[in-house]
Amino acid sequence: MTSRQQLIPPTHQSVKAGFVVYSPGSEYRSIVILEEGELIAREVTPPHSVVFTMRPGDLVGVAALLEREPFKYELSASKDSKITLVTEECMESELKRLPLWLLALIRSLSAKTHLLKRAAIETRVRNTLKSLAEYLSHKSSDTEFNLAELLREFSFLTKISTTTAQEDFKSLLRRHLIKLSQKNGRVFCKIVDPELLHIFTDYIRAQETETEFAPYRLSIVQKKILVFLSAMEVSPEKTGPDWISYIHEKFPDADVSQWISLLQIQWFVKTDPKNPDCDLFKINKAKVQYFLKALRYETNIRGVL
Amino acid sequence: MTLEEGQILFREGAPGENLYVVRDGELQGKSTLGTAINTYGPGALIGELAFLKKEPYTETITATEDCELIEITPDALEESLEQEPAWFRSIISFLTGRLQIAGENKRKSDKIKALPSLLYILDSLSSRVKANEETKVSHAEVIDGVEKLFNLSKDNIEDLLKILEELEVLKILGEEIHVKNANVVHLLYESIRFRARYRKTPPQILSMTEQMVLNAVIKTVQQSTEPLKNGAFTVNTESLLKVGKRAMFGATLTLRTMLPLLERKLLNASVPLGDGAVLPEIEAIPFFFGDFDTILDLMELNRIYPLLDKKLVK
Repeated sequence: MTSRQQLIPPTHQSVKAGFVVYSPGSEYRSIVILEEGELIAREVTPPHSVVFTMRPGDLVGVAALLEREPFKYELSASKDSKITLVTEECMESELKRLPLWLLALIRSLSAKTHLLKRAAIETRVRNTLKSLAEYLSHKSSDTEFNLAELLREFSFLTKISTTTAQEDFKSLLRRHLIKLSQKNGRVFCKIVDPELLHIFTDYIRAQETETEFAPYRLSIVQKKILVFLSAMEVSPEKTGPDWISYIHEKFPDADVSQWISLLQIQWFVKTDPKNPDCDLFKINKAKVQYFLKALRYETNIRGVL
Repeated sequence: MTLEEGQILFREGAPGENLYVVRDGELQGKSTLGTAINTYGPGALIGELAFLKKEPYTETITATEDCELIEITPDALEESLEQEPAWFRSIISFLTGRLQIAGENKRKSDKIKALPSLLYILDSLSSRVKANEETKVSHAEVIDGVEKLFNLSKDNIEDLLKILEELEVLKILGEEIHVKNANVVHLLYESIRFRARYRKTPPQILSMTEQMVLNAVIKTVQQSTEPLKNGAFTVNTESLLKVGKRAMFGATLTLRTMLPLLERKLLNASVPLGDGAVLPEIEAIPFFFGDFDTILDLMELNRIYPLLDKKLVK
């Protein structure tokens, strides 16, 4: 005898039209394979609608047998039919005969399907704090929002549970990115600065991808340049070489490589980005302000208050 | 087979062939379609669907440490199945098909569930830069916002944007997205939100009769030589009745048919109608007035709303 154990054979049956092959109340589980004829699956409650019709070659009951998933329909023959029943004992004896990798493959197909079905009803969001910060960054700072309404809308958008969202609200509160107040028994939420929340989401993303958040890897010279650029009331338009000498004049440590770095972090942009021949650059005020704010509120963003 | 740390087992998109079982070590799988990283340790299987369905591998697998793997070829599967009863092959094929369907359903459900997030971001970005009619928002900002809020992959967000483009809600132009009418995006978002919260038809969704009445009003205004005053229109009843005869496909325009719109102040009669219990003949009202943009936006919403669900489940 080989290492393979003996297979308990499946049962073959010929059934007349109207015969009930499986009823949800039954304790016996088996895979039903239709060899000849036709089977129909009906709802057990009125009006006993037909859910699906089986043709020769079709099978049901795999999930019920392998994963103990309930099979909730009544299965009956609509024509005289021939069926094969793979019972629990038969399947067990078959699984024992399989090479280990094939058994693992079956288990993996089952488990992955189960996971996908579960994931389809759960939230997709992995970092709920980032999601909440993003949601709130689209709210204005000059309104006091009813916290219950915010929770309801956020939960509608993301399917994140209210309990999880409440914890995340606390986390944002601890960072002073939002303010909470109470009036007439209701809690209201005020966004301190939507852009700060946006910066916070970028910071979380950098952490997720294990990259360093650009504002927190600036050199001393770059920080000095940042303060200098932010203080400039008007943004002059200059060519690259002119900017290099202008910056070098103010900060002797800054050279061409520094200019390339500043372009990479987008502190300067072309005055006409759509024109490939354009060689004039101006300060990207929005980006400079972004970096400045990220540095100014570093403790809030890092959560080390 | 063995892999050294950093070595790639296969790349995403490569034709599916073998199945791998991890015996020792750890590997990571990354797909360009998402940010999730899958980790495969001892006992894990890699590439089941690609192996069984001969489909391309869906992620790039890299060894994060020295690994030992068992490689299963399609011939080995065939050899094993030949030794099993015929019904066993059907079970494998059923489990494979079921996993594939579950994957497709998940992708579909992700898109449906992500639509409110996309509309929320579009609404927010459009309101920041609201211009006269067409609003331009940054394509990258939209993708970034939805990804952070809902954790949907870039490709799926692009698919959703394309659906909105097909419905003429917006136009994707490289780095910019032109939102045709920011008010309609806002109305669409609020309608979907209302439906989810109260499980009933949103108040912005009009009945067929209401839509036919408003269609007649729009046509009358467009044919009229009288200019709009701060966006407000005035239509005299005689002209409205004439247009109504042609535009309402046999239905008669009466104050009773117009009542729901009058009650919601979408249309206003030039003379008071009391509590609506006893209505005068429509001819007794000299003219009707209202805000033209509000009506146009509402009609546009009613054009898009029923099509959206159909497009999403396609």
